[in-house]
Amino acid sequence: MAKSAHDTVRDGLPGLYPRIWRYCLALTGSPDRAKDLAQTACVHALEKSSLFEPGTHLDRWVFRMTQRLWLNDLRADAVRRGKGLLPIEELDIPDTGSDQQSNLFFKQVLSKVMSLPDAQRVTVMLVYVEGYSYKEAAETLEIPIGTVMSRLSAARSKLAKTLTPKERDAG
Amino acid sequence: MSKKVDYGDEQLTAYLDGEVTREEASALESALEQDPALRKRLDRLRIDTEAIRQAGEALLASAPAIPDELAKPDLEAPGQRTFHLPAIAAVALLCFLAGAGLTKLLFPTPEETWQDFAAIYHALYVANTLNHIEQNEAAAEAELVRVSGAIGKTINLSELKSGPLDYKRAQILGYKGKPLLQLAFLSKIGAPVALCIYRSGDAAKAAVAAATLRGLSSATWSKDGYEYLLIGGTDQKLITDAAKAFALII
Repeated sequence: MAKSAHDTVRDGLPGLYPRIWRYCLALTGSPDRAKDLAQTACVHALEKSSLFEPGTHLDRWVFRMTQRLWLNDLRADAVRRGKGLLPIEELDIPDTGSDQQSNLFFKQVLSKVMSLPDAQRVTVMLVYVEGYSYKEAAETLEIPIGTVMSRLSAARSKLAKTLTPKERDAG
Repeated sequence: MSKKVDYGDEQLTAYLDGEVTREEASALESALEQDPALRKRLDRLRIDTEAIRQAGEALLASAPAIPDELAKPDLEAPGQRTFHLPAIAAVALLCFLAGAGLTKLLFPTPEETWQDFAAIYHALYVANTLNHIEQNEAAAEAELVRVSGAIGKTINLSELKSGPLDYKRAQILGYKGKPLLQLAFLSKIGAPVALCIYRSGDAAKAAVAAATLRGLSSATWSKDGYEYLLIGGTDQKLITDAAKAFALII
């Protein structure tokens, strides 16, 4: 028998949780806030689970909900408290658990991505990390595709100064 | 002769990301062959997207674990949900408040303590939050071992059942990144009561002291590096007496 919407959401959340947290990190720019937002988002997802359509992508549904929650309810308060923009040197990027050299490299890359303006950072996360198409990213962020493109091109301009491609890489 | 197209950075980005049609790609590639300035602009948009992807993958390893309450939520389907909403709202509220976030904005007192947060959370409990919970001995025992282990403590089920309160369940909450244990009971008249335990690491010992938090009867004490709060209902004598009994055995 097909699972109910509620069961699909409930059973899917634990596996999705690390990605939800990662997405929250891109949204909030802070590991602590990412943790809080990820938990709040999961509570919301469970509460709204009847609205989920089984057979569609749970990750996009949760990401969209998380983004709304952050933009509508939480971000304004965070900004009002004076911590809306976190200087990059204060951002403690978590240990990535790889070997030391890769770890250092990944931290450098993440630090550059995290230093992008919020809107660019979250779009980079969806397209370059999650592998979403422009259309999927636009639907998740609830913005036009043209905005996805302009955010990515602005992000590329900034990152290209420090994050140059390896020889093998065409993109 | 092909017509001249003015390529913006957005189009160049879409090309690099493989988000253009084959025709658009060929047209752009022809333009690139003839236009060094365009090639230069394209090069200025090139980044190592694979490195970003890998760094993002590596990041997953440091994601925190999903809280137990969310991994196996004791929630019914929304259509049947009547009395769980306050609990959900409370969990959301607590997650929200417990972080680095917005406490000052909402509660501008300078001395916020975990007991304040626990009281706010508990104030949302009603009898129906708990009275459907019927666990057999083994399940209750297993839950207690798991939950009390989170704060490095051993609590026996028999100790919780020895007093006048009807023990219901144990769960892990969090305050400032540290686990906060909540043991929930119902009083004889159906008032939800919670025994909350937080490992402070502070060796200071304090005897049971009665207080009123958020309009609820409460008692606090501390010993052996743990702080305790018993809270619920409006029968202060019941709470103080039960707190004194717990202070001797837990």
